[in-house]
Amino acid sequence: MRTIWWIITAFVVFILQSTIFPFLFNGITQPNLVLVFVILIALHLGSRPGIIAALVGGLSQDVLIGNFFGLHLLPYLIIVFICSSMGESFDRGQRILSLLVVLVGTELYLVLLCAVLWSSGQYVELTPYLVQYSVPLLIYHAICIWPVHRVVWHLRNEDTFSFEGYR
Amino acid sequence: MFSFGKKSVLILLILFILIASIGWAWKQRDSLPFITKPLQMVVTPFEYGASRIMNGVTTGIHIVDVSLKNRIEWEKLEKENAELKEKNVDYKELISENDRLRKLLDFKNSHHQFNLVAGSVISRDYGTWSNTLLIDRGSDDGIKKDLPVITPQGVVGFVSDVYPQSARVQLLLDPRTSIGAIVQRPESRVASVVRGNGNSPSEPQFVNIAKEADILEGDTLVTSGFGTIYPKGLYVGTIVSIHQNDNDFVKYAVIKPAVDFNRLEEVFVIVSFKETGSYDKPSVEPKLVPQTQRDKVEGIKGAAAL
Repeated sequence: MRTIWWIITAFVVFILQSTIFPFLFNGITQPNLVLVFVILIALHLGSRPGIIAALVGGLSQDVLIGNFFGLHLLPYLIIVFICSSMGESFDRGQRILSLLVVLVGTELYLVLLCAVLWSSGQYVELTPYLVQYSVPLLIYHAICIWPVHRVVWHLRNEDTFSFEGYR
Repeated sequence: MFSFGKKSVLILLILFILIASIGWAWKQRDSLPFITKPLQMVVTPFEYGASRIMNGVTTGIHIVDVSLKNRIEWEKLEKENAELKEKNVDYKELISENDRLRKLLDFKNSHHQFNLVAGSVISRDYGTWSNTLLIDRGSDDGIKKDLPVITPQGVVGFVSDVYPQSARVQLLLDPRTSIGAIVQRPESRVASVVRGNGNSPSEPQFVNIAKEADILEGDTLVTSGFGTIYPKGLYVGTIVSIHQNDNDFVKYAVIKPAVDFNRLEEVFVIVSFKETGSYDKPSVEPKLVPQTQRDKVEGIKGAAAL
C-alpha cells in the first residue's frame, strides 16, 4: 500500500511536468517539479530514495519528455549526493532551510546543466543562460516548495521501507 | 340527544335578547357614543398593534414565500447559468479548434505538392536547454525520422525520434537544430543557417553571414532547400536585429520565428514533397530600401551599390 503512493506521486509529477506545465507557462521557462522533488526527497529521506528519484525523474525527463540523454540525470545525481550528505545533519522540520536548499539546488542544477552541455560539445554561455533561467526558476520553485514539501513529508511518514538512516 | 327544558328555553331567550340588544346598540352606536367611543378608544391600540403584528407576519410570510420561490428560481438560474457558461466555453473552444483546423485544411488544400499528416501536440519539453515536443502521430501513421514539421505559419522543426503512436519534434528553437535559410528579398538572396539559441530560446539566430552580406532588419527568411530535410520556400521568420563585432569576419541576425511556439497545438508533418514549383511562391516585388537604413547596415558601399 505504501509503494502505491510513490507510484501515484511519480505519475502525477510526470504528467504535470510533461503535459500540464508546458500548456500553462510561457514557452520559455517552466518549473522543474522533478528537480524540487529530487532535492527534497534526498534531503528528507536520504541517499537511497534520492538516487531512485533522481534516476526515475532524470531518465523520464531525458528520455520520455526530452531527447538529450544525461541532461537532467547527471545533475540530479550530483545534487542528490550533496543534499543527502547535507541531510544527515539537517533539521528537517525547518521549512525555510528546505526552501534555501531548493533555491541553491536550482542554481547548482543550472550550472551543472551547463557543465553537461559543455562536456557534450554544446555551446552555451553561462552568464546569459543563468540570467535567462535563474529568476523565473527560483520564483517557480519557491512557490512549488510548500506543496512538494507536504507531499514528501507525507511520503516520509507513510513509508517504512528503506529509509532507516533518517527515521 | 338534546332536550329542551324550561331552563334551556329561558337561556336561549336571554341569549336572543342579548344579541338583539347588542345588535340594536351597534346599530345605534352613534346615538350611544358614551358606550362605543370609550370602547373604541380602549380597543384601538390593541387593534392597531394586532394589525401591525399581523401585517408584519403577513409580510414576513410573504417575504419567506417569495424568498423560497426566488431561491428555487435562483438555484435554477444558477444551474442554467453554469450550463450556459460551460456551453459557452465549449463553444469558444470549438470555434477556436474549428478556426485552427480550417487554417490547416486551407493550407493542406493549397499545397498539393506536400503530402501532409496532421498531428496534435501532446507534450512539450522546454525550460532547460533542449526544445522539443511530442505529437500524436508515429510510425503507424507513416512518420519517419528527419521529416520536416510545419504549420501554416511556417517551419516548426523536424522529427527527431519516431515511436509507433507518437513522434518527437525537435523545434527550430532547439540549439541543436539548424535550418538552411535564404533571405527572400530579391536583391539580397543571402543564404545561411538559422540556428536555435540556447541562451535565449525565443531568439533563434541567422548565423555565419558574411560581413558584407546584404541583410536588413525586417527581411523575411524562407527555407533555402539546400539541406535534405526542408523543402524550399517555407517561411522561417523575420530578421529583427543584426549584430556584428568589428573583429569578426561574420555577423549574425536575431530572428522572430514565424510560428508562435507558445500556442502550438496542431502541426503538419511533411511526409513527402515534390519540387513541382506549383506551390504558392511569394510574390516578388522590388522592395525599395531607404538609403539611410541601408547605409546603417552596409555603410557607403551599400549606398553606392544602389
